[in-house]
Amino acid sequence: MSSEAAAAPKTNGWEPKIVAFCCNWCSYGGADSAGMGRFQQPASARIIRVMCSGRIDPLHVFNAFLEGADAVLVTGCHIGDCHYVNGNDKTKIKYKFLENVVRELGLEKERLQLNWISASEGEKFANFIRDVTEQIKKIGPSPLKPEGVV
Amino acid sequence: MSQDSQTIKTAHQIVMQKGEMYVGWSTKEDVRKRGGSGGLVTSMLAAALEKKLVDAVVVLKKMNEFEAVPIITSDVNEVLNSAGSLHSVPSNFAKLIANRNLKVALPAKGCDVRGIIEQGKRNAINLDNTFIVGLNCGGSMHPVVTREMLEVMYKIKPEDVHGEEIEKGKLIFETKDGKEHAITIDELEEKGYGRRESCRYCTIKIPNNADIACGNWGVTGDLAGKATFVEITSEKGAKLLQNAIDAGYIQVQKPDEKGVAARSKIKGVMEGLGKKWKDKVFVPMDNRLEYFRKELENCIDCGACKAVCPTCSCGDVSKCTEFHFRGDAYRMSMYHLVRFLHLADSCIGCGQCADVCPVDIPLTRLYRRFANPVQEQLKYEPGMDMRKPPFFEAKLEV
Amino acid sequence: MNAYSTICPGCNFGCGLYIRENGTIDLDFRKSSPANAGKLCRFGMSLPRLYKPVKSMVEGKETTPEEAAKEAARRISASKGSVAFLSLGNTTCEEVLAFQKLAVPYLCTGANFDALPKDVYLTLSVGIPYTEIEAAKHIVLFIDPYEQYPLTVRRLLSAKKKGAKITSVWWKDLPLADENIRPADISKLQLTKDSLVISDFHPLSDAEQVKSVLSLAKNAGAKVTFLKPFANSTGAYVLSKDAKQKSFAQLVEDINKGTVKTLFCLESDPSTLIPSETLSKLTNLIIQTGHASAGTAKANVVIAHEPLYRKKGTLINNEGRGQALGGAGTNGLEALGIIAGTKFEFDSLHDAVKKALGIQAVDEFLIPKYDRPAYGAIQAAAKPPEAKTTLVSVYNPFMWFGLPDDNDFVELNLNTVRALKLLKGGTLKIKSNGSTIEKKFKVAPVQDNILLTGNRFGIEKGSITPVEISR
Ligand SMILES: Cc1cc2nc3c(=O)[nH]c(=O)nc-3n(C[C@H](O)[C@H](O)[C@H](O)COP(=O)(O)OP(=O)(O)OC[C@H]3O[C@@H](n4cnc5c(N)ncnc54)[C@H](O)[C@@H]3O)c2cc1C
Ligand code: SF4
Ligand code: SF4
Ligand code: SF4
Ligand code: SF4
Ligand code: FES
Repeated sequence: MSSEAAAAPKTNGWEPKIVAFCCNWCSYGGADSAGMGRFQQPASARIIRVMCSGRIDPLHVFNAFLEGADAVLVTGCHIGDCHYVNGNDKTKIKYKFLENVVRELGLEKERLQLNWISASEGEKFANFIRDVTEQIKKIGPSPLKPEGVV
Repeated sequence: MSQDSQTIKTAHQIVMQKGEMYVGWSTKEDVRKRGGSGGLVTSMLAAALEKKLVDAVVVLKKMNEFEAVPIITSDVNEVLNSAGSLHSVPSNFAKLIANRNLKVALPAKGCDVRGIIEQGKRNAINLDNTFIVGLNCGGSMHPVVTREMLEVMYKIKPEDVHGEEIEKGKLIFETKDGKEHAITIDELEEKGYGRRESCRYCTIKIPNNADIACGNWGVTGDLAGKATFVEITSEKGAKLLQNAIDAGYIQVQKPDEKGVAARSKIKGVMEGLGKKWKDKVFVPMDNRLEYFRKELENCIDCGACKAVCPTCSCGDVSKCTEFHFRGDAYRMSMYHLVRFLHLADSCIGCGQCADVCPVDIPLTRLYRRFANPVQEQLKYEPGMDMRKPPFFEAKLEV
Repeated sequence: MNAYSTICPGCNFGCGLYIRENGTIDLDFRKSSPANAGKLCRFGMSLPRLYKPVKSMVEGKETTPEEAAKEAARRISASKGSVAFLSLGNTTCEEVLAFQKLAVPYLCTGANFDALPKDVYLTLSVGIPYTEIEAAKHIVLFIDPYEQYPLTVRRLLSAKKKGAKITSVWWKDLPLADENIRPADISKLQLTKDSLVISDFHPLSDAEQVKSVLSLAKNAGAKVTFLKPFANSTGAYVLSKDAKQKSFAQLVEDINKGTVKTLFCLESDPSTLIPSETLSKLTNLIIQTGHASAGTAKANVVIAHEPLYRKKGTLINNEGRGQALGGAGTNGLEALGIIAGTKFEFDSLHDAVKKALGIQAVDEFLIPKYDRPAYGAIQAAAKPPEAKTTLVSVYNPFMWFGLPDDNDFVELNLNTVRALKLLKGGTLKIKSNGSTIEKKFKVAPVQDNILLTGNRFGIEKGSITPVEISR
């Protein structure tokens, strides 16, 4: 029971699982205002709040994939707006490494994405999640999803 | 050091300086004879110990042509006995001296130098107290592979081998009966023998990252094979060489221009060859996830690849192991994912991990798959200077 | 700085390595070692943990090795007629020979040769060169090489690269196997004279299982080799071939019956093999060893000699390869001499070892010739089918040495998880003979109703334990 099952894109009724790491000060606010503003938002996102995008360790991202995430999103404040001065500069570095590893590993580029979203950009957040959901629905479940996890 | 300034002014007129090149040899007859090319390195290390420039020296204690064990010693005789270069001993010195707070001098192939420098960046080695004698390195061979190669390709008994050298692209073994047996390295490597895979694409042929770079390339005329070509690459290197001259352990002279040119030409050729090998090994690939999964499915979690890696400096408690549980049924182990990422900027391609993997996973090839693009994009070469590993920078520079 | 060229005691594979002493014990890879090319398994990598220093003790009081040996001698002679001598094969051939002299009244190598036909003794004792594994066309595994004898994996992969087909007869699919047959479906196994059967033989081996493997190989004209768990299992067995031996099962029975009251163990931790209820019946447990273990904590007398890596002497690996240890220590022989009331000379014992092997010198690059005479037909009793749900213990070096490992879980398949509605990241209750334990689980391609473990949980009855499981 290897990855064949996972390789065939399933679109009918399948909801991808998308893990979005959101910084408390910006993108989590964005996610929040997306909810408050009643923007249409798919149920696919699992939001994990962190105090700053700089706190997101590559390990967290790997863990999300290994536990069955179909895509992982790293989001934070716009560059220059980080509440801890330069946390998101560090995010950029870590992301650079992560991106390379995840790509080289052979995961599609849609499965790992970075976006800067401020607290007021609820619509941007909602659109982002919706776009990613659509992209993932097209390519199907992640090949790293463990056996038995849907 | 007052003692140094004194000795530098003694009868030996030469005052060593960074950037200079010399050709030299040991003044001790037997060391010169046993030495890889004149015994200069051995004598320089012994002189450093004798004159208390250092408290200890790392040498290889030779068992036979294919086996030697690295030891840290403060015994000058043990150092003098270590003369000779062993191409079938893919040694790994960085971790040996790490976290020991030694004032030490040691010989080092390019990869050893890089490992030592990376340990230095991670505060596991105090580079100010470490005198690194770089050895030019065309590559090393795995002893088990070498033995098999001797039997299969050369049709000689490993026990009969007396010495070995590389000349004009050929690997030559001399047997005890005085006969020479030569086969081109290309032919050997085509058949899977010869140098370790990582050495084929290693491009650090002259270790200018060490304190002093020593080798036989560039030694011409009558001296060929009987003297060592040295290039001083740091103040420490100058001190080492001057100390050995002052102690009467070695003699040096200026190299001729022909030699200097020849040396830089071979270096260029070897580096080119390395790049070619790199392209040959790292062909673009589809289905990479399947490839990595397949390669790693035999992993038995022994941890040897971490223990041996000269650029890792975590002890028992490390991210790659603490977040990895053998009971996890993940499609890829967290251990390997973390290591792929952590080594992306730090892997020096020394091949040690592949050497020790009990299930023969070609680990260096896997790590380099991740390291090649990252190091290229970030224009970062680990172990070549003191630049901070990019992962620890506050801001992305490139 | 002392660097010893040595052999890993973890199993009979014969992996070479260096041990460096420098305040701490560090290991280094001995890449020129012919058995393993310097590579070590998880256990080999844990050796610094194994070599915990041990002190000589008499009833909990520290003493010198000489005094401890003298006290052991006194207790042994006082207990005359009810003394047994156990050495599993964790020490040098030279010590084995000395030990035999001492152990004449009751010698136990920890094997159950009694339960097996006489003519298979050497087939069980000496394996085949690893190069023959690499050259095989069809390999049948009755072991889990990854878990039990990890350095075999690369030999198997090398064979596979050369075109060998690998069949595994095991409760779990193995990544390197081309064909996976469950032990209960053994009738599906097809052997030819090109097949090589790899199984193992250890103190807790089921004799019927060993016979069945031997008979399968015999009937097909296939080669067969048995891997073994102790550094010098081969040496201990080969050198004890003509000695009068008691089987391991007999030893356990005799302790239970009370006919054995004093047990002398040489470089062997009985607590990993003999249930503690049984051990507690002994009046005297005497252990001579070079490292601390659960056994030394329980022993009445501990005679501490140098750890294996500091010893001088010969080990014989599973191929029959003689390997010289790189130390100089002989104080193990001295202690044995005190107990035997004689003096053992290393050199003469070493000569006797060479003579027994028919060699001039111990050379790790030469494998001496061994007699592995053909054996007669063997009647193997059919194995009873496994009970509904079974916990299978997969013996590995960590278990033989009682060294903790990172494996506090059982492996089971997805059907079991679903049937019991187990929770991801949760635990499973396992009940046997009235005791219940709760363990984490790992989903793996394991047979239905089978739980696999490389750990000892304390509820086992031998290697196959019927259990009840629930969420
Ligand atoms: C694997 C290897 C490949 C080499 N390839 C080249 C080459 O292609 N071109 C070139 O110009 N020079 C090469 N050299 C260097 C050359 O062989 C001599 O070591 C060098 O010229 C110094 O000579 P010497 O007589 O002064 O050294 P010696 O006085 O003989 O001293 C050699 C020192 O190196 C140590 N040593 C020996 N073997 C090893 C080893 N495997 N790893 C680490 N240390 C070791 C010894 O312990 C000793 O301290 C290579 C050396 C090695 C070890
Ligand atoms: S990796 Fe490079 S420096 Fe190291 S042994 Fe090989 S060729 Fe020499
Ligand atoms: S990952 Fe392997 S090749 Fe790279 S530095 Fe570490 S041991 Fe050397
Ligand atoms: S050395 Fe090989 S088997 Fe050991 S942990 Fe590394 S990859 Fe796994
Ligand atoms: S336990 Fe066995 S396989 Fe593992 S390193 Fe020791 S001898 Fe080798
Ligand atoms: S606080 Fe939002 S990225 Fe740092």
